Amino acid sequence: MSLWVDKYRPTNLSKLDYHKTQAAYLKNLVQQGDFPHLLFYGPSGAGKKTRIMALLRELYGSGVERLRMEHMNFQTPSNKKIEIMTVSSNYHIEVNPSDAGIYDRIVIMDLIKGAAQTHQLDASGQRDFKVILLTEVDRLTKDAQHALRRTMEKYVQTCRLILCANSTSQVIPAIRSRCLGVRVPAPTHAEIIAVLQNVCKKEGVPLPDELADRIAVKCNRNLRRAILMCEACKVQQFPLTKEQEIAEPDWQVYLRDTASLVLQEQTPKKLLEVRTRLYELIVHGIPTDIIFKGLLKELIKNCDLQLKTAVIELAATHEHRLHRGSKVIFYLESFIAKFMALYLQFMEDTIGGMF
Amino acid sequence: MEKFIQVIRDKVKVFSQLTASAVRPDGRPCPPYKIVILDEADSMTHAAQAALRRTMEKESRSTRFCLICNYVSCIIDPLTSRCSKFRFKPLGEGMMHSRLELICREENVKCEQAALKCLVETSGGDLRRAITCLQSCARLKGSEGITEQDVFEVTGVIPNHWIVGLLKICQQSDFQKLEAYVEELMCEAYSASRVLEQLHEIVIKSTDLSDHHKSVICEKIALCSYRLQDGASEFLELLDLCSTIMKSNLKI
Amino acid sequence: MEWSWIMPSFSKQFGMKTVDEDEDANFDNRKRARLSVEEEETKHEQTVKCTEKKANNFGGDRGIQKLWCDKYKPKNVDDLVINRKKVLEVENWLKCVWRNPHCKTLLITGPPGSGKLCTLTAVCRSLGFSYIEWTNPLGITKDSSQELKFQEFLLQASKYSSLITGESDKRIVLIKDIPSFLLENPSVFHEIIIKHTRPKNISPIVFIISCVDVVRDLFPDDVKFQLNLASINFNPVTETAMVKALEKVVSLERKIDRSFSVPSKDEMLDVSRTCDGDLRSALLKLQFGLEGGGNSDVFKIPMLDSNNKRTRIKKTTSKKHGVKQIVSEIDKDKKLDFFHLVGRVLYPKKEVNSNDPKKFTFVHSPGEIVDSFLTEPNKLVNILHENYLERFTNIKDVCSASELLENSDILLSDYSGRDTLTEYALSVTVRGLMTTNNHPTETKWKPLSKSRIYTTECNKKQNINNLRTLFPNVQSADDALLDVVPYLSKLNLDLPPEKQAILKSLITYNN
Repeated sequence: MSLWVDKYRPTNLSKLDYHKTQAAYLKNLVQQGDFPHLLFYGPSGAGKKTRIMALLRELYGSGVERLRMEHMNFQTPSNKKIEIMTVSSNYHIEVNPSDAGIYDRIVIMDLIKGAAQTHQLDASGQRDFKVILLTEVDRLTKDAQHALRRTMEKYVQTCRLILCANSTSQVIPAIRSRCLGVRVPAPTHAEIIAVLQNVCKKEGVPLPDELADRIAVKCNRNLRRAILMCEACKVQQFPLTKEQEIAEPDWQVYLRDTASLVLQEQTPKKLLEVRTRLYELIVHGIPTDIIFKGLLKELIKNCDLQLKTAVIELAATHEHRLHRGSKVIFYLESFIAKFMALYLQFMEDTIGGMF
Repeated sequence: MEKFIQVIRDKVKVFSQLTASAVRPDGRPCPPYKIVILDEADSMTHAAQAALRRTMEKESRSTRFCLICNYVSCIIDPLTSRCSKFRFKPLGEGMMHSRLELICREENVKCEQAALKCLVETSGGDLRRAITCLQSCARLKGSEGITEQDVFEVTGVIPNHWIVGLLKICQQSDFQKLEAYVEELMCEAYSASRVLEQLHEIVIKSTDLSDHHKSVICEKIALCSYRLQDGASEFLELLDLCSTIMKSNLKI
Repeated sequence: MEWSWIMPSFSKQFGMKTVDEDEDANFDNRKRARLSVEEEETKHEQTVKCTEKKANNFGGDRGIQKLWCDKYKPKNVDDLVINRKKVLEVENWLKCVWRNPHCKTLLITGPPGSGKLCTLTAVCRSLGFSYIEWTNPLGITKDSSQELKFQEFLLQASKYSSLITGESDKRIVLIKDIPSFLLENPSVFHEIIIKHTRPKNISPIVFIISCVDVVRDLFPDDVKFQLNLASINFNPVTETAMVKALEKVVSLERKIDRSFSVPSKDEMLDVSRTCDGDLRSALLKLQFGLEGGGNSDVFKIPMLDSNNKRTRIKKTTSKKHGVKQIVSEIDKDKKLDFFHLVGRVLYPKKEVNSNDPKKFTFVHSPGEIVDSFLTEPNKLVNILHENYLERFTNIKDVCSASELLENSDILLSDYSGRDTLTEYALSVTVRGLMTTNNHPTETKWKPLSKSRIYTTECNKKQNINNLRTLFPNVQSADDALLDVVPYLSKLNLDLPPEKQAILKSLITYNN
């Protein structure tokens, strides 16, 4: 299964298509003697992982691309066994600790301790440290983050941490101050088009400019999505035309349709229907903040500014409350119910005002 | 931290009960007591501090304690009354500046004055933070000089034009533009809490906004900031704040 | 028999009791019991029970009454009141066990008190089998050592014969108590059992399990197949059988104690009706209903009225209560049906105050409903959430109700404050739903739907796990779900069928 996304992913810092100055700085970093802990952050599809792998390659050479997948077992104090999947090479190990749920703290402590204590076997390596790559650090519980901070300090001699997160707001300041932050913003419209053109050229698929433009608009500055969209277009219709339809992810369509149901009718009966659809989205693993965002976007399209502000306030309030509770559906439903009431009032007022 | 009280009971107590000789290994006289240094003492639980108090009293002949903390209010009164306090004030800007310059000279690093100034400002009196930032910038830039922009990147400060631009858009009444702007800001990966902090600074000092206006905006900033702490969606909170600013603008 | 020279190889390890301490032996007059037991012993088999429980060992204290359900345990097959067919099933299995080396394991299931253990022990005695029973060792908290002990037990019990009797031929291993560690990790249990039953010369194992969930977890179909597991399911004891048993017990008791006054047949019918086929609980009820097991003063027992309804006792000559009253009092504790309580919240009955039509009180107190669910608040909140919308017609009412539900969820999610906050959370939910519906629907009672909250969570976890098999090296599930999966299907890739199926399930949305 070789997707264009993986096939044409740059493996060298010098081969990156955008944020080139940053790439140069990272190269400098590698050439200096002491390497700090790093925190890569940026939106989804911006290229964080790509850059991290390129950086590792710069550090250790191509040996770092020989990956193997392992299951690691940890045991909690309450004697529960957790199994976590890790991807590693001779020089680094990559783990997503939030897979372990509430036991992420154990995973971090044991993993880093274990990795730090095993001595580097590679004799030819110029580096005297291993790299531990932790992804989705902003999903870690605060306990785990504090444990991470302590472990970072303890084992800094033998291993360096590279952390990857979508945003730094959920990362505790203690960790942020111990890492060098590398901000990876989303590529610009023009940069995305350039990459798409590049990929299509290598694939021997001529890409009309208008189509490239349309894809770049639709992908939300998410390069991964843009390339996938392009590949899907090619499978759908070859040769590519500028007018052709660009497929949207199914969940996005479903979300939009749900919003239109809400706009159609504002009754408890409709809400019941909406509830079923919300459950569908939840079951498919769509994150709740995406659901809120998607619904909000559609719902405020036909509202005047006054109503828009009110609805946004509702969305922000209920989305926040969700983080303090545990049954996600309650908050989504409450938001929709309140919107319905507000919208109904708005319609009645406008219609009433017409007479 | 959980086992801290155990550490106090075992290690510290045992250590402090040992007697100390009055003569150094090299034969010169030295004070006949040992020193126990407790760093980050304000994160000790009250129970641990209480356990420490007894040890301090009992072993004061042979052991002296040195507690280091950020906030003296986190140390219980019985402990503070047994200690003589030394308060360290935050470092002055001038002093920090000259120290950083010294380091630049020693390490052969070229640094713009604007960058140094920025370093000093963003560190908030924390010299360690300033020096670490300086070092990070130096590593990244290699032989090139450090500019103000580099310091911004490393410290996570959001370039001013983004914040000013945000306020400007809120003064207008085009919601679509606002939405697009917030999306763009989110794509830049800046921390929303940072946006709120910097926005707050600008709003307070602004001369364009009336006091009433400022109070409405600041209240909303406080609310959004609190919600962000709980882990709320950054996009929604920013959008909520901006639409409130826009609405309050239009009312006036 | 004296045991002082030889310590039985099993006794200390598994806390077995020797025959001396056998509960049957101890309860009656010791000498009498020992003689009779010894007689049986020398004739047939060695029934060495290993149990640490001394709960039923009343030590001969005359003051404390022995529980009837232990006192009158059936000693042979004729004493059993269980359906003859079932008994035959068990007998047949035991008989064929030696002929067929493949059927080594038996699973006996059935509701509690339906006579599983009794039947098995009685049949064993009659066929001359001995049995050795496993009990969870008390006081050991480390899980892995529970597992080890269990394995050791299995090994020793079925392979090695007892040093005392030298007989290992006719022995079965009885397992009723499963170590909690194995309950939580059924796969470990499967491994142990399958490994153990592979060799052909082991003693047969009988599992007796009352709980349906445990049966489902510990014996899924593939394990059943691998073990060649025979299974016998006991039905709840029928009324007639129960009455028969009660009568027997009562008559035996009367033989011992002349002053014991026999309850009427109708009373025994009463007791058996309220017990849901659980013979043990019926015996307990009867025993305590007669207060002290019959050694009390004579008292008049009121009769049932003509249409067999339970009426209040019209007169009693003594202060002590009759069987009926105890029975009815015991039943009063029985909680009102779960669904009735939910119905009281969703369809609140109001008594309007005649003086002031605006004021009203609820016919059923919300406080009572809250009290009934303090131990399982989420159960109530979830089912109310699932079903409340159907009762509302006005969206504004729904707004208030849904906000209150949010509040209650936030209160329930606070782990550290759960002692006090649970009550508040339930109160908010119940009172909220009872008061916010100002425009309820006209329809009469509709059947309640089950809450989808937990199933959704489970399915979501399942989906994410499935995703991992598709993309073992993608570390962020979000990225994969939001970006890659939707487009993967559009790319017509050549994936193996299982992966295709997983992919399909991840992208289809039901409308």
